[in-house]
Amino acid sequence: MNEFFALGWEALGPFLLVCATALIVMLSDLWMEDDEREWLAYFSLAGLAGAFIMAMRQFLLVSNAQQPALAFNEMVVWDRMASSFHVLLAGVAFVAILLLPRYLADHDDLNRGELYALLLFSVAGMMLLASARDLIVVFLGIELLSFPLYILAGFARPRLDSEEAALKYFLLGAFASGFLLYGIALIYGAVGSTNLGVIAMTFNVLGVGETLTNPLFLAGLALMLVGLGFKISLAPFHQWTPDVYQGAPTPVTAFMVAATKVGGMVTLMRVLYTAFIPAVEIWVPILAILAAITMTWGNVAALLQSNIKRMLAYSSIAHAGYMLIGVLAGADSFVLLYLLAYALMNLGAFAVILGLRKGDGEEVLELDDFSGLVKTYPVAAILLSLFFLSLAGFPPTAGFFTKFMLFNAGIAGNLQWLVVVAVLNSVVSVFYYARVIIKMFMQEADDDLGVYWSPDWMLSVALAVTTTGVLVLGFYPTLITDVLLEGSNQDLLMRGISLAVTALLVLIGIGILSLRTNVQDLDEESEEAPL
Amino acid sequence: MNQFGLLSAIIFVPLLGALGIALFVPRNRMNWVRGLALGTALVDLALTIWLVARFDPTSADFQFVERLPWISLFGGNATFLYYVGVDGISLWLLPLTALLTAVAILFSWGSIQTREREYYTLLLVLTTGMMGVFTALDMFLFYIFWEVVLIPMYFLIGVWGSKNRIYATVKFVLYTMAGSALMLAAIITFAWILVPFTQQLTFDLTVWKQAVQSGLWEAGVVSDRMETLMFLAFVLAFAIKVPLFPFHTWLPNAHVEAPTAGSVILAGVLLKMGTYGFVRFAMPLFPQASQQFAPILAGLAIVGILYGAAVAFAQRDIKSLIAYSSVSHMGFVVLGLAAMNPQGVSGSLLQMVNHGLSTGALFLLIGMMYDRRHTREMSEYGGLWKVVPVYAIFFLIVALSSLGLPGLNGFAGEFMILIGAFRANHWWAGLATFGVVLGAVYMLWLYGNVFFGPITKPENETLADLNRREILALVPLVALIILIGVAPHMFTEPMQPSVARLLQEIGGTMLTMR
Repeated sequence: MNEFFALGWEALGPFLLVCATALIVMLSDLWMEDDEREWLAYFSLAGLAGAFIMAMRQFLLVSNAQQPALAFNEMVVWDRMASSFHVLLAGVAFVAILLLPRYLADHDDLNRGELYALLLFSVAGMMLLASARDLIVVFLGIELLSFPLYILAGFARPRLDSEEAALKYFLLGAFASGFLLYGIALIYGAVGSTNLGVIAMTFNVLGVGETLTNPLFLAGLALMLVGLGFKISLAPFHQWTPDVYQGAPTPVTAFMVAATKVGGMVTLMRVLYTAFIPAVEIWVPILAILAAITMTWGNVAALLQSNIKRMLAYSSIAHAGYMLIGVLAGADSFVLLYLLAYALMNLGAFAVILGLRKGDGEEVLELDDFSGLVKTYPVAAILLSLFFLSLAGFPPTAGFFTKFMLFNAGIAGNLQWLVVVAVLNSVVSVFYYARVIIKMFMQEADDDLGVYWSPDWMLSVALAVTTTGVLVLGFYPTLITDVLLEGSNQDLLMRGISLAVTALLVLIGIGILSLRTNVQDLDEESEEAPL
Repeated sequence: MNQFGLLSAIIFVPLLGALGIALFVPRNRMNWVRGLALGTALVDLALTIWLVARFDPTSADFQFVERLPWISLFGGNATFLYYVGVDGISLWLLPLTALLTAVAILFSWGSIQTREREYYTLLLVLTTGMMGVFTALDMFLFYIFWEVVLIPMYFLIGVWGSKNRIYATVKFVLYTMAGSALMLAAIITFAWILVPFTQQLTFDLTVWKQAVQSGLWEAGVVSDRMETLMFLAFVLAFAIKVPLFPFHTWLPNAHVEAPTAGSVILAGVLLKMGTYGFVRFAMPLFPQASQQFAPILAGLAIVGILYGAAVAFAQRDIKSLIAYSSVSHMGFVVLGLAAMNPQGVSGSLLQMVNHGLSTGALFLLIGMMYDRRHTREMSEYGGLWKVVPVYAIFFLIVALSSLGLPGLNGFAGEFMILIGAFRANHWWAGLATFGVVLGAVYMLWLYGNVFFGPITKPENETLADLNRREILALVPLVALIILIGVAPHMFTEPMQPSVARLLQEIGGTMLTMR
C-alpha cells in the first residue's frame, strides 16, 4: 500500500485533475438534457481552472523551494519545464473551451457532451507529455493527445470535409505513431532502456562515439524525429495540416492550432534535451535545415490561400519553424514564452472569427467575406487586426517581443543563418496577414454580405483574455516573464490583480464599442442586429 | 534624470490625444475630433519649442535624458531601457515633426471627409512613433518605434489614398520591413557580441558606443566580414527609408497614392528617419566600415541626385514629380553625410529640416489644388497665375526654396553640403552640382506649365483662391523657409558640438567651420 502512495502522485496532479474532470463530464453527459449541456462547459472550465491553479502552485514550488523530482519509478519527472507547460496547457484549454458554446448554439448536431470530454483528454495527454521521462510515457501521451483529436476533427459529421479531415488525420497520424514506436523500439535495441535518463547515461558508459556510430541508434533517432515532426507539422511532414485544420469544426481547429504545438514542442524538448543531448551534433543541423524549410514553406503556401482557416494552418506551420530556433538553441523558457504568445494570438483570432456569422448562420471563413468589416463592426476588425499584426511580429505586441527573444536565443546559440532566414520569413508573412487587414479596412464589399458580429459572453471573455495577453506581453512583459521565466513569487497577488483589471478594462472597452455599433445598426436595419 | 519629463511628454501627448479621440469623443461630433486633434498637435508643438528654448547649444551630450528600466529578464542580466534624449543632431527634427503634424491636421480639416475619427487617431499615433524614433537611445526601443511608424502609415495610405492605394501601401510596408528585418538581426547580433564585455545583454546605445570607442572592432573578436555584414544590414534599412538609389522605387507609388497629409508627413519626416539612422546609429557604431563604404554611399547618392532630377523632369503627374525630386534632394543629404566633415554633416542635418519644410509645403499646395480640381495632371492646369494669385505666390516661394535660390533655406543646406563634398572629393561636388541645375530646370518648368501661359481649361477660370485656413497652414512653413534662408547659423550653431563629437567618434576630418 505504501508503495502505491510513494509513487509520487503529486507530480501528475494537474494531469489527474484534468483526467478526472473529463471522466465526470463524460459520465454526467448521460443524464443531461440538450439544453443543459452548457453546464458541462462550466464544469470543464472549473476543472481547468483548478488544474491551472494547482500547476501554478507546483511551478512556484519547484522553481523556488523544491528540487526537481522523479516519480512513478522514474517514468515521470516533476521539474520547472513540466510545471510551466502544465500552467500553459491548462490556460490554453480554458480559453479554447470558452470558444465552444457560441459555435454550438448554431450547430445543434455537434452539441454532444463528448466534445468537452475529448478535448479534456487531449489536454491531459499533452500534460503527460510535458512530464514524460520515458519513451513509453511519451508514446502514451502522444496517443492520448491524438485519439481525441482524430474524433474531434470528424465531429462535424456528416459534413464531407470534416470526415475527410478525420480520416486523413487518423491514417497519417497512425502511420506517424508507427514511425515513432518503431524508433523507440530501435533505440531500446541499441541502448537497452526506454528511460530518457538512462539513454543519456549510456552515452557516457559506452562512449559517445561508440553510440553515435551504432546504426540501430541512428535509425531509431531518425524514425523518432519523423514521428514527432509529423505531430508538430514540420516540413516535409506537414501535408496533413491544412486539410485537417480546414475540415475540423472551427473551435476544434482553434484548439488544435494553439494546443498541439505546445504538446509537440515540449515533447521534442523533453526527448532531445534529456536523452539525446550527447548526440547534439547530429540533430541540430538536421532540424535547423528542417526549420528553415518549414517556415519558408509555411509562409509561401499561406500567401496563396483564400480560406482563413487554411491560411492560419499554414501560418501555424511557419510558426513551428520559428519555435524550432528556440528548441535548437536550448532556450526552453523562450520557446514557452513564444508558445504562450502564439496561443494567445491564434485563440484570439479564432475567437473573432467565431463571433462573426453570415445572415444564414454560415461561418465567415473566406477572405472575401471580411471585406469592409470595419464599416459595420469596427470592434471585430480592430481586434482581428491586432492579432494578425501580432502574428506578423509587429511591435508593440506579444508577437514581436517573444519573437525577438527567440531570435536572441538563436543568435546566442550560433544559429545566425537560421535567424536571418526567419527574419526574412517574417517579412513574407506580413504580406498575407496584411491581406486580411486590407480586406477589412481598405476594400468595400461587392454586395451586402450580411455579416454580423454576435459574440456571447464567453467569447467576449476569451477575447478580453487574449487581447490583454497580447498587449501586456507587448508593452510590459515583465509582468508575466518574471513569474514564467524566473519563478519569482513576489507580488503575485498584485500581478494577478493588475492582469485581471486590465482584462476587465479591455472587456468593458470591447463592450462599449460593440454597443456603439449595434445601436447604429438598429437605426439602419431595425431588427437584424442580434445581442 | 531618472523620471519622466519633457521628452516623454513630447512623445506621448499625441498618443493621449489619439486615445481621447478614439474612445471618448461622442459620435457625430466631428468638430470635436478635429479640434482635439489640432489642439493635441499644437500642445506638442509648444512643448518642442520649449525644448528648443531650454536646449543648451554648447553641449555635445544628450540632454533631457530619461533613463528608466523597462523590461528586465534573468534577474537583470538582460535589460531593455526606456532611454530617450536629445542632442544637436536630433534637436530640430522634433519641432519639425510637431509642426508638420499640426499643419497636416489643419489641412485635413477641409480635405478628409470619411472616417475622420480613425484618420486623426492614426495621424497622432504616427506622431508618437516619429518622436520616439528621433529620441530613442536604446536600440530595442528605437526598433519598436521604427516599426510602430509603419502601421499608421500603412492605414493612412491604404484607407484614405487614391486609386492604386493598396498596391502602394503594401509595397511601402514590404520594402521597409525587408530592410528593417535584417537590421533587427544585426541589432541582436551586436548585443550578443557585447555580452562577454558587459556581462549582460544590453541595448543601451551609450554602452554600445563606448564599446566601439574602446576598440571593439579592432579587438579581433568579430571578423571583418561579420562587421561589414552588420553594417550593411543597418545601411540597407536606412537606405530604403531615405530612399537611396536604387531602393527608391516604393517612394513615387506611396507619394502619389497617399492622401495629402500622408505625403506631407512621409516626405517631411519619415524620409528623415533614414538619414537620421545613418548619423545616429550606422556611422558611430561602425566607424571603419562607414569610412570604407563612404565612397559607395556618395556614389549612390550622386546617382540618386541626377537620376531623381532627370526622372522628375519626365513626370506629367505633379505629385510624382515632387516625389522624384525628393529622391534627388535626399541624395544631397546622404552625400553630405558621406563627406564626413563638419560642413557636410551639418549641411545634411540642416537640409533634412529644409527638405521637410519645402517638400511638405509643396505637397500641401498640390493637395489644395487637388481638392479643387481633383486632378494632378500638369496638362490640366496652365495660366493659374491670374486666377489664384495668392496660391501662385506661395507656390513660387516654396518652389524657389526647393530649387535652392540664395536667400531661402534650400540654398543654405545645399551649399554647405557641396562645400563638404568638395573638401572630401572634388568629383563628388562637381557631379552633384549638376543636380542643383537640374532641380532648377524641372521646378521652373513645372511652375511655368502650371501658372503661366493662357488658361487652357475652362474649369480653371473659376478656381477659388486660398482660404484663411489654408493660408494659416502655409504661413509658418514659408516663414521658416525664409528665416532659415536668411539666418542659417541660428539653426546650425546648436548642432556643432554634437557634430564635432560625432566626427571625432567616426574619425572624420576635424577642421572646424570657420
